[in-house]
This record gives sequence, structure tokens and C-alpha cells, in this order.
Amino acid sequence: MTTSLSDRATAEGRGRAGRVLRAEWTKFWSVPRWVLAMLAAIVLTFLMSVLSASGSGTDENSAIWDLYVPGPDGRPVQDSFHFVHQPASGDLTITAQVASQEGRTLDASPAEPEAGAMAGLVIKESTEAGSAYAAIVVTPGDGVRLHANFETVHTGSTEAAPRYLRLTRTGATITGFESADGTRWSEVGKVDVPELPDAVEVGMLVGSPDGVVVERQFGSTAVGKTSTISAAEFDNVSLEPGRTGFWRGDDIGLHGVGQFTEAQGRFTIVGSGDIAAYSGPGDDVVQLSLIGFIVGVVVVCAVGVLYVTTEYKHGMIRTSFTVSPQRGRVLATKAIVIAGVAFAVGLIAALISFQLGQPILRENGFAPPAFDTMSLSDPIVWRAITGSAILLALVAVLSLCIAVITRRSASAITLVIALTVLPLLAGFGLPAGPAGWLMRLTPAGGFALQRVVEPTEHLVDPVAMIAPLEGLVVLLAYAAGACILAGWLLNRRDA
Amino acid sequence: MPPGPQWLPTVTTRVGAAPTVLDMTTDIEVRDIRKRYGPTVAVDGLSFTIRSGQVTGLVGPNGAGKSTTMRVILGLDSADEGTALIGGRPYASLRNPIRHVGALLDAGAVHPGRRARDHLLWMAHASGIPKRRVDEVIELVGLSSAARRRVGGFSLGMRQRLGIAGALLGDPPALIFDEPVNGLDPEGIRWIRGLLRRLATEGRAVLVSSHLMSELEGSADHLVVIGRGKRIADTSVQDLLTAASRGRVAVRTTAVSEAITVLTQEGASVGVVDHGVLIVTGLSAQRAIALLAASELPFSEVSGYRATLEEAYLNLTRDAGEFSAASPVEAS
Repeated sequence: MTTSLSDRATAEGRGRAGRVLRAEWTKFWSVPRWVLAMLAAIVLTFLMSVLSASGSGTDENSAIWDLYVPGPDGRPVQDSFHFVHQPASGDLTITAQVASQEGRTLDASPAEPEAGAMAGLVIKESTEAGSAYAAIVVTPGDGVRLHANFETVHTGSTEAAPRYLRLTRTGATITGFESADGTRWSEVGKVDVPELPDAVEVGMLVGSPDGVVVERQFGSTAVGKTSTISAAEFDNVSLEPGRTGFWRGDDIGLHGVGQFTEAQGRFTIVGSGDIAAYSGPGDDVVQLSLIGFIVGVVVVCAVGVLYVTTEYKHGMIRTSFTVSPQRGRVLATKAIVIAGVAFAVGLIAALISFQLGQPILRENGFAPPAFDTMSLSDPIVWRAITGSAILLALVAVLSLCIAVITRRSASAITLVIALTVLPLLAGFGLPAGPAGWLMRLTPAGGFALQRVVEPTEHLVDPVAMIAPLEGLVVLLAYAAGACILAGWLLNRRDA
Repeated sequence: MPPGPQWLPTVTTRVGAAPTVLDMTTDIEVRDIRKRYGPTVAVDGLSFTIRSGQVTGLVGPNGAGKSTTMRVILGLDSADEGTALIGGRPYASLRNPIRHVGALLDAGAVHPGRRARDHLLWMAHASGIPKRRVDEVIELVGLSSAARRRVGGFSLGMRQRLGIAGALLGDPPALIFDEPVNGLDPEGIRWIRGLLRRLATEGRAVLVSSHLMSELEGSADHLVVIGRGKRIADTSVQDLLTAASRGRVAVRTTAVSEAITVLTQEGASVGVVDHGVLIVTGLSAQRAIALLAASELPFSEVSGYRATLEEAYLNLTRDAGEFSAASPVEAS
């Protein structure tokens, strides 16, 4: 009996919530100015996006081959290190201990090694930069790694030198091992490198990735790279089956500081450079085609605010609350309506912006190989498009709730713009650290939902410094906080 | 748009949606309500009951606490003390409240960009009221030809009608109108008086506020007079008028000054309200006739005097010593 009664009450409650939702939706569409403003938000957003795409440009693709070489699949890679090698063929095993690792300054005095400085063993197609390879390296910061063809395949222990390393080739399969003492070995992993011919170059490698210096000024960043050098000592070097030739040192790639010395089976190798796939400057071609959302956010904010403040201005809020005395329910349904509309606006605006913007950006230099071609068939593009819609929806809810709190259009709009747009501008002028934190602490970070590239501090755009999830969390937190405060005030205040 | 008279409703049938007389009665009960805004006491221990089948006038000068009382009844403002119950329940606990109490608080409380019909439509949606009823009330208040126009272009009178349509939408057994006559032309005022009477006849409880007693003349059955948030009187109109008329006689004569002399000699006090009409206090009609006849003065009529509501109101407020011109409480 009790159950059926409460069930019925719940069902009726749901029915009434549905009715209030329908009422709030009627309130929205019946004011043509709001509907027009939302349509204008779509148009202004993609026009601004297209305008921004047309005005952007990059010379990354023309500069790329100065610093990078084509990898096995033709994509740009950095492939520079000092290679102490000899030719070998067929199945083989190479073993050595990296006895020590240190950094060197440019005038050859000892220094702290870079965290990513590599010392290890490599089996490579040829001494040609960009050719296929498999390598096992130990680094001061990242431990032991097995990588092949410019991708890390397996990570081993986090130990630094001294460390015994071993590579075994069986056909196309390369197996990496590590050991603390040269007797008890553990397998780091296996990798297939079918590009490797029967006759290969095998030996030891030393490299040290470039240091990056980012200089931020208001409105621009300059990213500079400086060469770093590391030196490593190898001993207990063995190559099975039997050694057939002499060790020979070559600088692979573009650096020219490498050298090696050998004394009683002890090799001291100095090298510079990195083995890595090209990572772009951090420019996000998906985000670049969605720049217009900064306008969309402002329009949606205004509509979200007016949806509430006009009721206060005309005294209609009293009619609303006599019709539906559950004020929390009115707030919630208003939030659902405005969020739904803003989501749809965001989705449409993002789709149009993306489809119109991508060809323009490609024409302006944002093209392969430096930049991936993005299309709607990439799930990550949909993440950015949906993220844009979520951005607008949450800004709309934030605006609505702040409007309930202030009850005045001007102050509410000012506050929302100050929270969501101003930090973007401020972030351009701040150093990277504070700019990133500004994004993590204000709803402006929500714009990160439009990015698909890893966070980077190499760009002037502060939004690029945080991950999409961080942006979502901060925006969601603000919207939820404003909702709770608005709901509490609604029930507390006289209407 | 065709001119003027189209605003006059032609519908003379029942206001409600159902053809039968209401079987449910819903009294509105206000008990010891106290409400202050900052240092200002807007309502100070007010109690009264609005009965079904009657038009109750809530009368008092601007700032007397009429609107505040109505907002408290509707759960919009929370009273510091006391309760307001509708059919025994607080407003906020009513399911689909506008089907229990219809209210017109402020005729301007509509978004100017919205069409009149859409304004009623959202209220209907929220309360599970069919669209048919929306068109019905639009016709009832005489806004049919303006239903699809935006409210921004409405006159105050048209807005009042729209507000009244909103109040009637839920066909409620109780209705609250705050100054509904404001902004209406004489035709409109006549129409609304008829409407109020009709609503009461149908068995509804009707509360109408006004700062002018004369506006309630002919429509109110009962009066709650308040000043500075306190109740001054709670009385039926009949009793009030009887009290105000008691012991007064109207004499129509062509010999005004002689008649005054004769009547005042007998201890009556005499006032002249109109050319040739005297109001005599302190004498019965028979005694007045006897005196005039004895002095051979001509008279065409001697009758019991009927006071106007306005007069009765002035008597009341004078007795209560309330509204000296210098002390209007600020409007709420």
C-alpha cells in the first residue's frame, strides 16, 4: 500500500517535472529575440572561425625538413645520435653494460645529464638517418626503454646507469633484456621490425635531446632549442656470433659533436641528438578551426542571463513561482532548456566551423606532414566537436545561475564574461606557469575541451596548457557551484 | 485591428470550463500574518478569511500591505509569523496551484516579446491544462483578436485582461486580483465588476484589492479594510452601509434655509448634499415630516438615507484615526 502510494507520488512528480520542462521550453521559444540570438550565435561562431582560419598561417612544413628526416613510413622524424657500430647479418645478440652516464656542457666540461639522455644498444637498417631500427636504452630520468622505428614500444625498469642491456635478433623479431649484474636478465619486451634487412649495422648509441627554451611575451611565444651533449661509458661489450670487424663511430643525422674512444674494452662515447617522431609545435588544427566559439560563448551567456533576468525585470518570476511553487524545479528545468539549446547550437556551430575551417587551414600551411589531416571520421574530432557543445551548454547554465544570483542582466553578463573570456586574454600575457593555473582555476579552461593535441607550453594560447579533462572539470565545478548557490538563494529569498 | 468595442467580451456564459456549479469550496484563510522588510513592518498581525461565493474587497491606501498580503498568500514572500492557507493548505503544497487559486498580481508581468497566447500557453503546460482552455479564457476576456500579438504593444487595459485570463486559466475556486481596475476604461471597469460578480455567483472565493473604495461599489460583498498592515474593519458591505446610514434621513425641499432652521431647533444636525436635499441626523423620518408639516414647509420626499461606500469608508478611517494625509507608508 505504502509502496504503491509513493510510487504514484514519484510518477506524478516526474509528470509535473515534465510539464514544467515543457512550460520552460515554451517560454524560451516564444521570445523570438532569444531564438534569433541563438541562431546568430551559430552564424557568428562559424564566421569568426572561418575568418580566423583565413588569417592564420604556418611555415612549419617548409621548415620541417631542415630539422627532420623522413622516417621509415615517410613521416618526419628526428634521428640523430652518435653510433659506434659494425655491420652484422642474420640472427645476433649484442650485450653491453652502460657503466656510467653524464652530461657535458658545450665546452666539454662535465654536467648533469638531460633526463632523456640515451645510452644503449641499437640494431639499425643503415647509418642513414631515418632508417628502420630497434634499440634498448637507459636514461637518467625515464629508466630503460625498448623502442623501434621512432616509437617507444616497451618500458622496462626505472633504473639508471649502471645497467646491463641486451638486444637479440631472431628474424624480424628483436627482444630487449636488462640486468643489474649481467647474469640475471629480465626481458623488457619484443618488437617486430620487418623493415630490417638481413645485413644491418649494430652497436652502441649515445644521444641527448635538445633543451627547449620558451620565451613568452604578450601575444607571442618564441620556442628555441639548444643542443645538449651527453657522454656514456660502456664495458663488457659482446656481439654474438663473433665479431667480424672494427667498431666505427658515426654521427647519425644532423649533429656533429659525437666521438668515441676505446681502451681495454671500455668505450667512452659522446653524442648529441634525439631519436623521436616529429612532434609538431603544438598547434591544434581542430581547435584552430573552432576559434569562433569565443563569440559564441558571449552570445550564449547573454541569452542565458536574459532568460532569467527578464523575468525579474518584468515581475514575471512571480507568475512563474505561483504556477510552479517548487523553485528548485523551475531552476533545474530552466537549466535543462538553456543547456539543451546551447548544446545544439554548439554542435551545429562546431560542425560548420570545422568543415569550413579545415580546408582553409590546410591551404594556409596546416597540412601534412607537419600537421595531420583531420576529418569527421576521426573519433577525436568528434570529441572536440562534442566538447565545444558541452562548453556552450555549461556556459549557458553558469550564466543562468549567476543571473539568478544577481537578478540583473548587466552584472551577470559582466561576471560571466570576466570568468570565461577575460582569463584567456590575461593568459596571453602571463608566464606559462601562472597562465596554466589561470586556466585550471577559471571556467575559461573549458575552452580546452576543443583541443585534441597534448597540452603544451610552447604556444601562446593559455588554453593549450591544460588537458580537455581539466578544462571540463573546472567549468563543471563552476556551473555546479553556481547552481547550488542559485537554488539556495531562490528558496531563501522572497520572489 | 478593428476599433474599441471588440475588447468588450461578448461571452455571458459561465466563466469556468465545466458547465456545473462548483462543488468544491476553497476558503482563503489568513492568520496573524506579520511581515517586515528591513525596518518597515508591511503587515502587522493581519487575520481574515475569504469565503466562497463572495467578492471580498481588500481595501487600504497605497502601502497599507495589500500586495504583501497577497504575495504571502501565494507563497511568493514568506511571512515572518502566521500562516496563509488555501482550502486548509499552504500554497506551496498545492498540486497544480493555479487550478486552486488564480492570481493577477501585476499586469505588466509579461515578457513584452511574447505573444499573448504563448504567455498563457506556458502556464497551461506547467499545470496540465489543455490548449482548448487557453483559447477559451482568451475569448472570455475579449482578447481573441490580439491573442497572436506581442504583449509589448498592449495597452495597460489589454494587459490587465491578459492577466485576468491567466488567473482564470486553471478554472480555480479561488481568485486573487491586485488592483484589477487599474488602467481600464469605463467599459472595462463595468466589465470587470460584472466578471467579479459572476465569479462569486459561481461559488468562487474572490479577493480584490483596491486603494479606492468607490471601485468596489457594487461588486464587493465583504470588506477587509487595512491600514499600515493592520486590520481596521472586517465587515459585510451591507452591515457597513447600514451602520453608516443609520439614523439619517434625506429631505428634499424647496425651502432649504427654513427647513434647516426648523430641524436644527429640534436638535438635529443638518447637512446639504445637493441642491434641495438635506441630510438630517438625530431625527426619525416621521418626526421630520411632522416638523416640516407643522411649519407648513413644502417637501417632496423624506426617506431613510443610503450612504455611499466611500462615505462609509471615510467614516471608518476617520474613526480609526489612520490616514492623516502626512503618513502614507511607502508602497510595497
